[in-house]
Amino acid sequence: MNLILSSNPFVQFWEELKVLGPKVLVFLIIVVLGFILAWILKVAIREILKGVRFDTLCYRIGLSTALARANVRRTPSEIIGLILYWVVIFLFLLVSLSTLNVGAVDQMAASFLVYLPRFLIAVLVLIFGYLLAGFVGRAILIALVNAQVKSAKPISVAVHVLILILFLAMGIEQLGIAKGVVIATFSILLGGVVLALAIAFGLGGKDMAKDFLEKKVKSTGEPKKKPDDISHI
Amino acid sequence: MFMPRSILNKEVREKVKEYKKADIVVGIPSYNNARTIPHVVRAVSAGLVKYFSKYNFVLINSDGGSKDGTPNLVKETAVEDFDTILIEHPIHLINKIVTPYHGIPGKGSAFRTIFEIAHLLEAKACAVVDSDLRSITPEWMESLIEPILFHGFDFVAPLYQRHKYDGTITNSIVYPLTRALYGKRIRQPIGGEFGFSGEMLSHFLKNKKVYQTDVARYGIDIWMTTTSVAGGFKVCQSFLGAKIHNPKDPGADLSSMLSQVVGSVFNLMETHYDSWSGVTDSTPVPEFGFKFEVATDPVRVNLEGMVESFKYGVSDLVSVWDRFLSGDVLSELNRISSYNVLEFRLPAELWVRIVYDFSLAFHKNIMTREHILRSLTPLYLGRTASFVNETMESSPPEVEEKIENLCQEFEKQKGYLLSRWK
Repeated sequence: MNLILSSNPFVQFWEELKVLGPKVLVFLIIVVLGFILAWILKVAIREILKGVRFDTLCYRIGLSTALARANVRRTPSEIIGLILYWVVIFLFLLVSLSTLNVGAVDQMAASFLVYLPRFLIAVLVLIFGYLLAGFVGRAILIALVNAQVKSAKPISVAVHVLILILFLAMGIEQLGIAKGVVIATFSILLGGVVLALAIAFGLGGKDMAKDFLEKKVKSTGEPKKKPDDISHI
Repeated sequence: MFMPRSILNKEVREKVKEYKKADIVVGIPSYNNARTIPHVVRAVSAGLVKYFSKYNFVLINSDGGSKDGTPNLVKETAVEDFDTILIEHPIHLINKIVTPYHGIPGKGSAFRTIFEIAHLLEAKACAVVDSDLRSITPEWMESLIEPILFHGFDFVAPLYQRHKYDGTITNSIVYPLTRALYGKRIRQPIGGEFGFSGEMLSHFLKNKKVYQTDVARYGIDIWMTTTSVAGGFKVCQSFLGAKIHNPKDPGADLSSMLSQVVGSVFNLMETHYDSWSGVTDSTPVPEFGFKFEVATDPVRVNLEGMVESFKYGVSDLVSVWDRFLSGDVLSELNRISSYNVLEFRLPAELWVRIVYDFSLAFHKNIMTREHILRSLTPLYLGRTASFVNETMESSPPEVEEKIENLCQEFEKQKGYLLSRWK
């Protein structure tokens, strides 16, 4: 009778439960702790960022406008708080899962922990690239308009896009996704753009170059601009 | 203990030791002004000898590294014949200090050196004059220094007869905006020639950090004027006659110049909010000197170029402006850009709204401040073109009336600025 009972699936389940039970309890405790810590960190980081006027800075560099355009209603400090919240929860989940001693989960946790810094760097690279592209594009646009260059807008857009592509390639490379393909695509794209620009300048500016050289050689003495003696200051 | 390094070199400090004290100090900032500076030095020297012979005076030239021998010309220039200007002519040696200045290249850094030397010499009165002047006379010294020495004023701003198209940044932005903000009708707040007391001088040297900003460049004039008004000092203006000068530093482009001056005005709005927020109207300041009509050099204007620049701006900079200019302002600008050159007008009401919106964008850091300021250039040129069109046939009093109307518009719309400032 005892033998029958010991081989009973219920007994086996009970035995396994006795081993697994404390582990599940630890798992649950870690998860709950994770949620509490994540919430505290979220609130703390949000308040610190508000205190150092992080939202004003984001507004100034155009990040808030970009978020508004993408229909994101939260402030940048709230978003950072939220990202931190989920990262902490995810980390606690991984740690808590490792207490269950499930091989596949352990392996996944280890890979994720190795990958996490690369992922964060890639995100930072993309954010920096986005901001730099916006800043440089706008600076070039304003300078060219003030210098009365006719193609100010297309030139500034081209510079903006090129910087974005460069940083996108850097970000993807950081993530380690199809490294070779990304570098090759970027090289072909950049090379193509430069070649296209060279051809466009060559063909489009042929007459302008001719006029310029003619004027230089002949030096007709005709003033390029109308005279302007206005003293603004 | 940390001792701040002096911006004055050994040679200058020795000269200061030698001269010990000076009642009056006159400073001339310069950079490649060989063509005009001998005349300026002669006029200043003659003025000092003629009107202040009983006082000790020192002339300072603070140079930005001229390549055309400007400092040597200052050293060598002397008034050969005082007989023509003085009845009695005792031998007058003009004490001079000629020195390069240190720091950010610009007029403000040159002024700082002059201030430091004048402070060490314990000057009772100090005056500064530009080195590109062609119309300066000895009487300018009397006009700038007398209100300080004999009437107890701390700051003397200049008052000139200028060509209607000369000083357009002053006429369209700096004068009307400063007047609306601080309530004092100082007609030439960035004129370039000023007189000030020893007390004012000490005040200018209190905050050395400002000389690391645009105040070190073209922002110095408006900084001095605003600091004196906001600081509650006794301010007046003195009529000097015609202002005729060579063009300012040809290397400096309009966009940089405008951005330095307007950026300084906007920065000062932050610093002196308490001084201007309660001001509701403006009052005249005491005036010295006998006003008279004088002819000024004709000024050629490239109207087409200015209108074209405005049109480029409206076509390409909307993506920048739409962050801080409202939809109705943008659509109005769009409508105006369809006008041809001669019918081109940018009304005063719209211009004032634009300037206030730019100052609010600057205050709220809506984007990089340099971008906000530099994107003002096409709009400023549009307003200047409009002003040229509006006053093409106008006499000087009529032009002054136009400027007065603009000032009143700035005062009228100040409530709009205040309601959005916080």
